[in-house]
Formats: sequence, C-alpha cells, structure tokens
Amino acid sequence: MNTYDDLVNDYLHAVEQALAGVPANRRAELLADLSEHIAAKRAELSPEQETEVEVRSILELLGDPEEVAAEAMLDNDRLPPPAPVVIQPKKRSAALIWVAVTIVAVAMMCVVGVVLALFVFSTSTNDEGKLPVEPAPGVSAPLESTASSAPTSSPS
Amino acid sequence: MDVPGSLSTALRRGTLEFCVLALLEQEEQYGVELVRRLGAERTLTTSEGTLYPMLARLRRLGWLETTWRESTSGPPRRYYSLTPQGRAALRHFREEWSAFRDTVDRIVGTRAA
Repeated sequence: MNTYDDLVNDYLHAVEQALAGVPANRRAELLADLSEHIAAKRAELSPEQETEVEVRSILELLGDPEEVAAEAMLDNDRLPPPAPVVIQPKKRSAALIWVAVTIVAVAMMCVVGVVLALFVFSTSTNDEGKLPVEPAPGVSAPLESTASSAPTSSPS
Repeated sequence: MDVPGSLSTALRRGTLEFCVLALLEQEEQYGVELVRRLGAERTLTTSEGTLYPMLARLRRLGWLETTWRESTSGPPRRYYSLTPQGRAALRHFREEWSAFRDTVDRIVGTRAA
C-alpha cells in the first residue's frame, strides 16, 4: 500500500517539478486535479485489485509528467497576456513613428504655407495698380453708413 | 496511421475543447469519467493527464463549472457541467466549424461524396 502511495507521490512530484514556470495557484490546481483523479481511480479498485500494476497503469494513462506540464504551460502564453513586456516596445515604436509623421506633416504644412503666402503676396503686389480702385468704394461706403446710422439711432 | 508530433497537436488545438463542451451538452459528467472517455479517443488526446489543464482553462473561461457530489463508494466526486456561456461557445463553434470543414474539404479534396 505504502509503496503505491510512493509511486503516486513520485508522479505528482515529477509533474510539480515540470510545472516550475506556471503560476503557483494554477500549479496547485492541476496537482489537486491529478491527485483527485488518481484517488478516485484507486477507490474504484477493491483492496485485492489494487496492485502495483494497476496503480502504474493509472499513472501511465495520465501520461508523461513533462507532457502534462507542457499542456499547462500553453496557458501561460494564452491567458495572462504578458502585456507590459511584449506590447510596450511595439507601442513605443508605433508612438515614435507617429511623432515622426506628425513632425514631417507639420513641417510640410509650414513650407506649403510659406510658399502660398509668398505666392499670394507676389500676385497681390503685381496687381497693386488695380487693387486700390475696387476696395476703396466698398470699404468707405459701409464705414460712412454705419458712422451715420449710429449717431441717429442712439438719440431716438 | 500514427501521426506523431505537430500536425495532430495543431489539429487538436482549438477543437478538443469543443468536443468537451459537446460531451457535456446533454448532462453533467463525473470528471474522472469524462477524462476517461476523452482519453480513450486517441485521435483527440495524447493522455488523460493533459486534459486537466484544458478543463481548468475552460473553468477559468467560465464555460464549465464544477459541483462536488457525495459518492456512495469512495471520495466525493467532482461533476462538470456547461454554463450558458459554454453553450453559446459551442453554438458558435458549430457554425464556424461547418464552414471551416467545408472549405478545407473542398480545397484539399477530402469532401465526402
């Protein structure tokens, strides 16, 4: 009887060793599941049926401790996303790219703005002879009308 | 034919979980019995022990829940059952799987006559 317990404990210990990279709570959970499974299967055997061969067969069906542990390790990649470590560098480089794009865009807008300003300035100075003619009546007319209407409306 | 290594592993990945959900669709099952049943399907599993990490994962996802029940013989038994989220996941898988299987069959030339 005791030797069979040792067999079981050795198996569980081997799984535990292989589970080194798994968080403690999940390691404990898996070990509890496995020992529960072994205990349940052993309980199905009558005392005279419980031979070393039977106990070994229970463990063999459970499989190689390394393989069982490897399955649990898979969850390491899937469940708790190692977000701070893996995603951060990506985010940083993405942020740097955006900063660079923004700087280039702003610089281009400045250049375009200056060119446009120069262009407008040069065309408006070319038309210098015509310009004063048109705005002059337009600007002076409303100024006169508001100036004349303002004093008349306030006393009434 | 025994297909060792990566192909069978890759095929299992993502499908075995839904086989578990399907086995629990009609009624809850005793964990050891469930594992024994799945472990006997050699195309689906490599060993009984690898099923426990998967069952734990499905519990954490909220697709399965477990209940302890007293047993007339031996220690208390843990029963696995589907949650509403588990049912929804199985329903979703069924739709995806049909489309997926049809496409693979058509392209690979394994479509049943």
